[in-house]
Amino acid sequence: MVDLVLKASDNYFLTMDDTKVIASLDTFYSACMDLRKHNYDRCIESCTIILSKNPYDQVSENYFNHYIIATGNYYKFCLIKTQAAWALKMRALTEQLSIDDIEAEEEGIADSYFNSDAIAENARVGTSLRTAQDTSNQRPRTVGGRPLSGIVRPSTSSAGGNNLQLALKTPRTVGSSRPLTSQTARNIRLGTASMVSQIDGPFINISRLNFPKYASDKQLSKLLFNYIYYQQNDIRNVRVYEWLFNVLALDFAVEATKFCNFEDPWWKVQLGKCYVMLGLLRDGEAQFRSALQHGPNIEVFLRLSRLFIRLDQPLSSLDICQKAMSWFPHEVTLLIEIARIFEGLNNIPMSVKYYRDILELDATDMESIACIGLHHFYSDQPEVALRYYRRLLQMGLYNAELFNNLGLCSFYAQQFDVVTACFENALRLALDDNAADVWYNISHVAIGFGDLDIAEHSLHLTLSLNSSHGAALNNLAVLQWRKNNVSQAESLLNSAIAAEDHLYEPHYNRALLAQEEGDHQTSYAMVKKSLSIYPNHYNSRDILNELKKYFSSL
Amino acid sequence: MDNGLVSYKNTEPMMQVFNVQEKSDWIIYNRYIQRDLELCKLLIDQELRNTKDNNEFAFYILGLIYREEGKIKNSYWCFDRYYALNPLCVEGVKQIARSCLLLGRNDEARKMYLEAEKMCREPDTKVYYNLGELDKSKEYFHRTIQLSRNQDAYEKLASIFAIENNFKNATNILISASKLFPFSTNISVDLGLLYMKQRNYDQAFNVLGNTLCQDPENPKALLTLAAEMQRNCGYDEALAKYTKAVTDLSECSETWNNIGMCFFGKHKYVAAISCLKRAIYLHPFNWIALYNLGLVHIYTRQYVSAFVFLSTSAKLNPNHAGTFMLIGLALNHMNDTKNAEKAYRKSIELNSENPEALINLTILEVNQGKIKEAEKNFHAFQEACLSCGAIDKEIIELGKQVSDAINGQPQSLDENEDEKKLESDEPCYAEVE
Repeated sequence: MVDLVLKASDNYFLTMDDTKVIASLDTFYSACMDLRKHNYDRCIESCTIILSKNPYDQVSENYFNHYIIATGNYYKFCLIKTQAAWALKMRALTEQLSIDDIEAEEEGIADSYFNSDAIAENARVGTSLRTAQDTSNQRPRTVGGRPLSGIVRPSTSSAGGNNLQLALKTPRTVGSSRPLTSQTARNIRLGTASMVSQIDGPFINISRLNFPKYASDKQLSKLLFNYIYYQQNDIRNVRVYEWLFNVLALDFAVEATKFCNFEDPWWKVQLGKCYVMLGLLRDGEAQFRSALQHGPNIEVFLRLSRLFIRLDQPLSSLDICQKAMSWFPHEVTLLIEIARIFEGLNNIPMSVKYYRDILELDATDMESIACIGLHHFYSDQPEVALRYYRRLLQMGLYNAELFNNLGLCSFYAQQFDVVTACFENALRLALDDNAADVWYNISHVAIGFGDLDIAEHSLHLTLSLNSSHGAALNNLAVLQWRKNNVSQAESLLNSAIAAEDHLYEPHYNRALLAQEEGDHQTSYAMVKKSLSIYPNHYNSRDILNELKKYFSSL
Repeated sequence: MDNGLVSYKNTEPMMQVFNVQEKSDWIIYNRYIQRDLELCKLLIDQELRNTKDNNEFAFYILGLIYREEGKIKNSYWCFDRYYALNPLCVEGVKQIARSCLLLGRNDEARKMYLEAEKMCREPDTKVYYNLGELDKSKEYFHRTIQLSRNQDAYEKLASIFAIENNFKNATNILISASKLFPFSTNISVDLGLLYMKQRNYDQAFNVLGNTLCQDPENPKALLTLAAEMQRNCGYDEALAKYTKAVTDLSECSETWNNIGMCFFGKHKYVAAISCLKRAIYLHPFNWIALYNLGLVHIYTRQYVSAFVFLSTSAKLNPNHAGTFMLIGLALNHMNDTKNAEKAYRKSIELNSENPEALINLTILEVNQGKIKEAEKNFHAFQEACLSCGAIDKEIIELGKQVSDAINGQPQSLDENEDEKKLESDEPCYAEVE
């Protein structure tokens, strides 16, 4: 015990010393250290102090030495000139907000509807993400009509299909009262973030910047570009950088005799990014491709593949990924990309194969584990799925979705003792939006145990949390129908259809109900809709044939 | 098919003369017959504009087209106009009545048909057929058949007889129908099913085999034949038939149930369980599949799971004696003899001549040492064995052992024995609507 105490006090003194040393140091050096420690707020604070003392902070020899030690050679060039504190603050502000934007892409309706880049309106089956063949009818589908994936990604919520009407109609649920607009989710977040940081006026007034002057500075220009791209989030201003790039090229052309590296692929990638943001996909493609001529780069390959997905050309996207794989054969991000594309094309076996490859390289990839688990669950192997989800639990994931999945798997794998515990945990951790789904699943478990009263109660709870839960409305209708409450079942089915019309079940049930009541017109309309959603549904086709016989006989 | 032109001849001679003047009718009729419905609609539109809505024939055809498109209300309106233009024509009344029928307004439809019947000079089979769909169906369908050869009427009449358990009449009607319509698979399949219901398996086999010759992928015939093969333990043949049918009916719970029981018959329990589970996934209220799943789980000695599935099955259908018997068995294996006894008694209560439940109860009582009660139940068992026809040999053997146990050496009964008389698996014979 004594030893321990002694040790602890030693430590305490040490840290005291450490802070003292840093406090006694130069402010600029401590700002640099803060940046390296990702302590952005303090870094910005220190920079502001320096800048308020000396607005045109010239770097003395002394500072320069410190800085070289702190950040390495990268900023050597930049700092020889001027304005180290300014650059540092810019960098801190950028890094505070910069995120990995390769994946953060969501297509708004306006984008998808006014998309002039789509090659074919009615693409051949298997060549487009929108006409992906529905092979696995066992798997439930998302609002957009795509099969459910194991993990929620930015693209899974996109309202697939270029039908503006559909996009406007379907996602308007309790969860989100408005459909996806052209403003992407990421942009909204960043926009608000930049507002917060601008309480005491903008740090850099971009409209007043002398672009040619800064652009000619090879290092500073990159920092400035990132600042505008991420922090200010003003793409139109970044657009100016196309011109800036020209200026750069011009400047360098003059000085090219000395510095031959004006063909900087970094700039091409940035230009491509800006073009994609502006929706000029083909220009973006040209930039990325020319950047690739300088040498293979994973980021560029990924961006190019994303771009083709936005163009709805998944096969080209796969081509790009395969080409990239020949350069980087063990790159997990590329494998993930391929797996996702196959999933989007509804080629689940291939997708699972790639996810397995990923797991061999990186055994802790949550997306792969979740997707493989889901695949096993929907191919009647809940025991195997349970193993994958338990692995996720071991890895420290602790949320409602996981416990919900564990509960379902253990129910279908007949491990009845843990089912209740899992769902209790799921409910404890659930937020409003996923609690509805948890209750919905509980209703299924209750039906599985034959306790229809509990099933009905949990469906009511689902509806109290999410009044437009189509599947719950449909199931409640079926339960009411069993009790011969036909009128109630009918109204429930109608509201299920109104809430989510991407499900074929309520349509089919409504058709069946209408036919039993002798209302053939409604039945016909409903069965038509059911077949348009799920063309191979045998029972719907049966009803349709019968109705046709009715209608054609005199 | 009966269509406009025929009705046209039924109208008054005066009207016919009048109608000849309407030049474009034959064009519309031609288009309609050639199924060029879009063009036909355009022509009708034009014609109605030219004649200021005074062409009844155009209305008639438009009504038919609307009906085929599923717009019954529009078609009702069209026939209404037709009737207004030509109130003496029976056809209009008939079509209005038919529209009412399709819209679900049955009373109105019946009134209209009765009116049409009065208006007809000679009996009209259509009127009787449609009236038959409403009430006094048997009578009206009979008259329909007498008047014309209407395949639907034959089918309907047969199904009515089948519902009334009058299988003889039903088969007779279907036999005469199949002579009239030898290429109709529907009729022959119905006939096959009827033979099945009457346990006339050879005939059923013949009829269904013929059906399959005509239509090798008729799912109803395939399923029925497969179920029959399954009953005769021809599991492999049955499976082959099912796999043919499953491409079409992959969402049919009963098919999966039967496939599961095929695997069970071949002692492939894991495959059986996964098929049965799919059956339940597709239709959670399918108590037969739940019952079978419980049965398979008892065989694989997973008694808790078996109990869960069986109790679910019992909740969904509390009137099946076999379920309670199996529940008792599962409970017995979990050493809950008290509740097991209750379950057996419940089973016997539901079906007092169930030898399996009786023998199981007897064994339980012998093991508990209640010899007197066991003797009583054993007598009941013996009576049940005598009264019902086919009994498994193993049950009889078991009965002998039990009688030995009661008479001589109690407690010598092997616990495992009582598993054997579970052979009475009940595959449900799917009849797809």
